Formats: sequence, structure tokens, C-alpha cells
Amino acid sequence: MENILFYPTLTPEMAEASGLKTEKYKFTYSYQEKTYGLQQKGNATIKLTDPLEIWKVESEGLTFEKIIRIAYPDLLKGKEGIACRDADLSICIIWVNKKLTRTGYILPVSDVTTNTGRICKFYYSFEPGNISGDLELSIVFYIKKKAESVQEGEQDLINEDGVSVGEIERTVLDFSSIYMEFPIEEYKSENEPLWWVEFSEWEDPKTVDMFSKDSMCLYLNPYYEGCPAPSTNEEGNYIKNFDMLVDILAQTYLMMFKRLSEDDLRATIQNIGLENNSICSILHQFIEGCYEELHWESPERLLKSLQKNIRLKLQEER
Amino acid sequence: MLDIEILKTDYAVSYGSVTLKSLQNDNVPELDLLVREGIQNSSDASLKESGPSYSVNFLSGKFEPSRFNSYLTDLEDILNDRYSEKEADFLEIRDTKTSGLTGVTRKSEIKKDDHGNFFKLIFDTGKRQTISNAGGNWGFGKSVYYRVGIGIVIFYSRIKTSESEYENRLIITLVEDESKTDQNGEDITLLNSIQPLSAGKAWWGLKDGDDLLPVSDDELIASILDVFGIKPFREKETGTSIIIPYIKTEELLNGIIPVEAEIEESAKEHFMEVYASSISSYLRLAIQKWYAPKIHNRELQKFCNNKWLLVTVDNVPISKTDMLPFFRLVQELYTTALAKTYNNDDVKNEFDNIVTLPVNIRSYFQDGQTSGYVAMIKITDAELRGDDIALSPYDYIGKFEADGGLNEPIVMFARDPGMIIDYEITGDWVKNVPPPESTDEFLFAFYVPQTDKVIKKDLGVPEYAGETLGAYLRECEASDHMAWTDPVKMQIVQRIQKNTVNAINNQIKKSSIVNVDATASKLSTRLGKDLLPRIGYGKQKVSGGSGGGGGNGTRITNIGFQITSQTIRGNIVEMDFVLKLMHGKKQAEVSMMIASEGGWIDAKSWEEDIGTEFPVTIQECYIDNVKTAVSDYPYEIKRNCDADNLKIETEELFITLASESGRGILTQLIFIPNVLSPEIKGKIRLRAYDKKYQFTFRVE
Repeated sequence: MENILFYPTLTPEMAEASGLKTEKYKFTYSYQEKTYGLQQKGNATIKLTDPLEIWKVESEGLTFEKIIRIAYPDLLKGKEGIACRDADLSICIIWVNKKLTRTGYILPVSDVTTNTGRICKFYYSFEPGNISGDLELSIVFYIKKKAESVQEGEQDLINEDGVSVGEIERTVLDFSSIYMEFPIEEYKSENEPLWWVEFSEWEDPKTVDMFSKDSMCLYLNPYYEGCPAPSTNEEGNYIKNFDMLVDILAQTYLMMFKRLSEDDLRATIQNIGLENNSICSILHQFIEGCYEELHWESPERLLKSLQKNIRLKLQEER
Repeated sequence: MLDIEILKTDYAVSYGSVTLKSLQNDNVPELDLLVREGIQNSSDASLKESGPSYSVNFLSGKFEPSRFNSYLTDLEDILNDRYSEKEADFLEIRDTKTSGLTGVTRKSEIKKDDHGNFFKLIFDTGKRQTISNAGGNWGFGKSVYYRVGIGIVIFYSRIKTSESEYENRLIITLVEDESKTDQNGEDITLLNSIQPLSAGKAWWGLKDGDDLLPVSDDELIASILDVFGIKPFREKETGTSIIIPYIKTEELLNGIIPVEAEIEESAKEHFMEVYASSISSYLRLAIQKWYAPKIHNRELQKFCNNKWLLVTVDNVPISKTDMLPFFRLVQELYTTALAKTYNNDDVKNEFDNIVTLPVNIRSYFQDGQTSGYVAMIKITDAELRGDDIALSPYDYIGKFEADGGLNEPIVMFARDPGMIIDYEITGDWVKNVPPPESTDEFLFAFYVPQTDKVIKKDLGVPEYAGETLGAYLRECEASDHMAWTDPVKMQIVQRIQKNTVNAINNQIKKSSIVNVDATASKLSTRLGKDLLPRIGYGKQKVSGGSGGGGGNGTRITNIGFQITSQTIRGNIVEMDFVLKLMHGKKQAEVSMMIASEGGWIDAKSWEEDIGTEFPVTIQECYIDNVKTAVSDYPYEIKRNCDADNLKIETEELFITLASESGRGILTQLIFIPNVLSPEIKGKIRLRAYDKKYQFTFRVE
């Protein structure tokens, strides 16, 4: 149902007449004390991607910059506008993070009026952990300070501090990834080996135990030079110590398969009674996506076939 | 005393007010325009002279008004009255090694196709430059000379008249708004009291019949110049001196940073202290800003005949080492790109990593596709500024709003004269060029055209056939020389802009791969992508259609409520509505709701939870007509209900205006039709006791 307001709010005609223009958001994040740009796709709903494949909103947070220009700000005031001539009309960004049920508002870092119009600049950083899943950014005009006196013809306008008088732009950022994450933790220690795997007690890997850090986790120890890690150079993105990673993953998968009972392994291979996202279901998907058939006849042959397949999967162009 | 000539109002007269308004540019400080115009005139006047350089000196100083005023016949008393102080400011722009204000001085000797430098500068407005590689074009630029003071300008020049003979010329000009008034509407012009028909222009020189000739008597000239402590040109020296008395120093300095410019307070303080504390200090910056490519650029002579510029402010030269690092870089970018247009790669570099790229456009030129070259550099703040605690480049070029955050790329462009047309951080020259990802990095690029490229003759645009690219671009310059814009039939500039952007972007792509070593835990996303299924795999798609008889069947809409128009008047909103009841729906309730932090809330909950009166009431409901599916025409009702009369009862329908909370505030309309599937049209008038809330209707 349509909302009813007792006062005029920004219309597309007013926005056009006042020369209201919003520049594209610029999204960046900081990693190891440096700032990197994020690429964006979409207009009303934006999906952000990181060419370096480092960024996750939960761990790196998000910084954005936005500029709004109004060539003729005076046209928004007075009886044909949205605020009284003497009122202080300002712009803020209201943000809502539905997943974490958090909300707040952002004020411009600078808001100046020159002879070429008014320029509002926003620069804001969400610290890691403060938002997750989604973010709605709504840029609105609001009455920052009401007019001391309402002039002739302005009686229909709202003249109260803090009231929003129109939305300039609404943008939804969708942070949810379409990809699952492989459960990996980093553990830097000279007393620990290069890598190891920890499993929890599995109740029923077909239905109850999900493929997540609660059930299994691969630990990598960057204390060693040979520790695999993503990296970039002139050639593009690559994985440092790639061969080592293939070996580690092959052994990790081997351990997972070996942890399954014979019945569970059969159910995994044949996709019988598997809950989505369960360990067995994820392993089934893995088996299905192998380039070469896995050899189940012996652990050493299985490891060899895992090595080959994992290498191919990691080299696959996505 | 000199003779005065006042231009009188007449048919087709060039008014002072019009001259003053031409080439005003609200985005560029007047002192910048003065520098651009002053040096450009000098540069143009140096073209026919020999030698590798030309010189321009800006001199600011003080003079005694009464001494100067005594030369201005008829105006002396008025000026003495208005400027009774002992001292006033003046500014002189003097070029040497230039041809000076040559050309005829008498009207009868004027040639239609070329009025000559003297006539053009002193008497003409909007007369175009005739030399093809000149910087000036439209002849409006000089208006800035009249705006920075009170409109009086002394033009003094020494020219060579024959192998061994030289001539001095001095003439004083006044241009003012002929209808200028003060706040009370009082006439404040200088000339109207002398000549009520004044068109806002006057000249002082020597009358000879119909002509007003420049003063050529060396002694008289020397005495006028002496008022300003200025020496005449010597012996074989030629050049022009433009002296502007009564400079509006404070106004000019205050106009450099717009009052509410987006600039950090500390940067503003630094800027004001170092660059805007005096006319001279700002001139030193503005000269670098627009003429960085030419200042002491001796590299030019190594591959072309373009002259370098020796520029001094108050007789102190701006040497290469005096230039700010940013402007030294600008010069190097220009030189590198220009050298490439002469097929030369051998330019001495202070800055590493400058890349030069061809900007090709197809189908326009007789030979080849290369329109020119863009030299670009990605440079860190530290590499650019070293330990110098200087300001951001954006502050130096007056783009204060760009200072801070990611650094917008800057693209510059220039023609032969080497004056930077503009620094672009928005618009077609930089559209889609991404800013460097780090706030410590800058991206600068400089486009220089291959001006001798010849435009094809078979383009179907005869006016440009066979013209050089340099001449074409000069014609594309707007009168303020701040941009290139194609004429309607051509797209050369557009293509240059587009392909400059493409060339820059391709280069960025090539070099954008940065070395980042992420931590091992960052592998989880990458491995998830490569080894695990996508989120939501295996989920069944929700099937559509109406098959199956489950409990979650399609919900049938049996009621429709639409607001067709709304008007606001003070605290009243009046709206037209259409209510439709369908599929046997027997009753409809339309109730007011109000937006709260916790969502929409109705009147009853509002009064229970908030404890105050619901801030809106339905003041009146008017029913115009009811239409049914079986009737061809609507039944006219034309009845209303309000606080005094809560019901409408007709054969077709029954309506009650009700208070949901039971406390008297009317917030609900109950519709009970007696006809099948009615479409009810009417008006509702709402009254808000507090207008700031947002309302809606719940319809059920």
C-alpha cells in the first residue's frame, strides 16, 4: 500500500530541475594496511567482487565513498520545494543491515556550497564484523534545522527537525557469496607442523554433520616458507606453493573418505539419503565433479587419483 | 594632458558591459584568467620573432593615484575624489622578445582581413587571431584586464618599424559597465557624468582628426611610466607592457578559494599563507598551473622550434627548480608526449615510469591514424612530493573537492602554445578511467596532438578539408580556451577523448596486477569456488502453476484499493480512491496505520502502546459513484460521511466511519456493499495532528 505523507517530498521532476546528480559509489577495503578497490556489478542491487580474491565483508569490512551534487540547491527550498526557505536541508545515508538487524545513519564528511552548486561527500568505513550478508544504503534529504519562520506559501511543507523529505537513491549491496568456503584456519607457530586436519566427532555425516568448521578444519601454518597462500604477480592471481597445496588437499580428502563407514561411503558415492550441505553430500558433489574416476580399490590409488583431480580442479578456469 | 575619446551609445556599438562579461568564468579565479591571457598574448607575439625563448614579467606594486589621475583628461577630479588614498595597487604584465603592438593606428589604414595587433587589442572586441598556431583565438580574453581593476588599463609597447628604427606607443583605455549602479541604485560609473551617452568605453591618447593615436613621445611616456616606477623599453628591445592600476587586491585574493570550498582547514591555511597572501605569491602558482609545459623548458628546442618561457614575478624568475614537483612532472609529461609527435623518444627524465601511448582515430586524416600521444604516469605520493610537506596536486589546480579519498585521475591537454587547456578530473577525458586503488597513488596523463596532421579532403565537410589538426583544434576551443568541442558535423575531439581514455585504461590493465601476498586462511574462498558446490545446490526449484490441492494454494485477491491522486494543503491530505471488492467479498475495512520504528501500527495499538492520541483522523469520506460488473453505468451516490454524520446509507452500499480505538479519533471506514463486485469511487480527506508521520491504509 502506498505511503501517505502530509508534506511534499522529493519528486523526480524536482531532482532533475535542481540538477541533482549522484556519483557512483566507490568501494574499497584495507588489507595489510593497504587500500584496494572492489569491482561492482548492478545498479539498484550491487554485487561486489574483489579481483584479488582477498576481501570478505566480515573480515575486511567495507569502506565507501559517495558524492552527491546539486547544481541548484535553492530550487529544493520554498513553496515549490521540500523544505522552507530558511530551513537547513541536509543529506544523510541511512544504512540497514537486515542480517544482523543493525541500522544507523551516516553524515557527510563535507557538505559545501560553492558557486557551482552544493557538493556532499560521504566517506565511511564499516569495521570488520559490523555488517554481514547485505547492506541497504538509502540516501535521503532531511530537515537538519527547521526554519525559524515559515514564509508565505510554505505552509504545506514539513518544518520539523530530523524529518526525512525524500529519498535520493536506494542501493542494496548483496554480500552473500554464491560459493561455499572450504574450512581453513591459519595457525602460525614454530612448534606446529606445516599442516594438519582436525575432525570433530561425527554423528551422522550423511544428515547431521555439515561440511563446516564444526565438523572439520584444515590448519595451515604460515611459519613455514612452503605454506600455500593466494598471491598475485604480473601474471595474475596464483597460489603460492601450489604443488604443496594439492598434496595437502588430496590427503585431507583421503582422510575424510577414510573416516566414513563402508555404508556411508557407499551412500556418498551413490547419493543415497544425503542432506544438503552434509559432509557426505559435499563429498558426493566432489566425486561427481572429478575429471577422472577416483580409484577406491586401495588408499594409495585413491590418493593418487585425488591428487590428479584436485590439481585439475584448482587449475580449472572459473 | 591627453586627449579623451568616449564611445557613445549608438547602433551596433560594443558596450563596456558586454566586453566585461565576455569570458568570465565562474570556476576559474580572475588571476588565473589574467595569467592565461597575459602569457598567451605574449606567446602569440613571440611567434614571428627569432630566438629560443620569450620573456614575461609580472610586476605588482603601488602608485600615487593623484599623479596618475592627472593624465586622465576629464576624469581626474572624479578619480581623485573616489581614490583619495596616497597609494593604490597596480599590476604590470610585460613581455619582451616579442613583436609588440604592431600594426596600423589610423582607421583609414585598417585592412579588413587583419586589423593588426594594436587595433585588435585596443579597440576591437571578439576579433579572432589570424596566426594559425597562435594561442589566442576569439579576442575576448583581454576583458580580464578590465575586470581585475576598475577598468583602466595602460597599454605601452615598443615595436620595430624598420631595420634600425623603433617606435614607442602608449594608450590608456577604460572599459566599464555603462549602467553600473550601487546598492541604492545610484549611478557609479566613471564616464556617465562626463558623457551621459557613454557606452562604457573611453581611450586617452592624442587626437588627430578622426583618429585617436597612441602617445609616441618618449618623454611623455617615460613620465607616465614613472608614476609606477616602471622603466621604458630600451633601444632594440621590443615588447608590450600592460599596466593595470587600481588592482582590487583583496577581492582577487579572496576569490581564489571559494568561500565554502571543500578544503581541509589545515590545507586551506597552508594555501592561504603560502600562495594566497599576496598577488605575487598567487601569480607564481597560477603561472605554473597553466604554463608548466613552457617554463624553462629547454628540452623543447632539442626536437622542435617551440619557444620556452622565461617568466618572472616582481623580477624574480620562476626557475625549473622553483617549480613545484607536481608541475615539473606536468612539464615532463607534456614534453614526452610532444617529443613523440616529432618522433623523438629521447627526453631527459626526472620522473621514471612515464609511458607514452599513441591515440589513434580512424578515417579522419590523410596519412596514418595517430592524432597525437598521451603521456601517463602512475606515481605515489612519496615519489611525487618526496619529503616536501606540500599540498595535494588537486589543491594546486583549484580542484579542492577532489582532495581526499581515492585520487581521481587527472588528464591534461594542450596545443602548440603549451598552455594547459584544462585539468580534467570529470567528463569525457577521464570517463571510466578508474582511480588508483590506493589513496597514496596518483594517475596523471597529458594528451598532446600531432598538430601537423592534415584532415582528409573527402570527408564531406568542406570547411575543414585539408586543414591541419592544430588549426581544427584551435577552432574547437571555446572563447575561454578551457575546452575543445567539436562542431556538429565532426567528431575528432570526441574520438580523441574516447581513445585517450581507452589507451590509458589498456595501460592500467597491463600494469594493474599488484603483488599481494595474502594469508593462508584466504584460501578458503578460492578453494570453496574450486572444490565445493555452490551455495543452495540441490535445492528444488519452487514449482509454479496451480496444480495440486495443498493448503498453500494460490491466494486469491478479492479486494483492491487504489489511490489515484493526492493533494496536500497544510495539515490536510485529500485523495481520490477506487475500492474494488471481488470474488464475493462482502465487506471491506480501510484503516489508518502509522509508521513506527517497529513497523506499521494501527490506531488501537498506537493509543495502547504509545499512550497518545493517534495523530491522524479521517475527516471526511465522499462517495461519488459505484459501478458493478452487471451495470453499464455507475450508480451515482454523491454522499459523504464525517464526524457529524458517521454513516452513508444507500441502496447500493452502507458505509460507516469508525473509531478503532473507541476514543473518538476516526480512523476506519467500513464498506458493506449491497451489490455484487462493486467498484467504489470517492474521496477521502485526512487531517494530521502531527504531519511528520508517515501513514498508510490497511485494507482487509
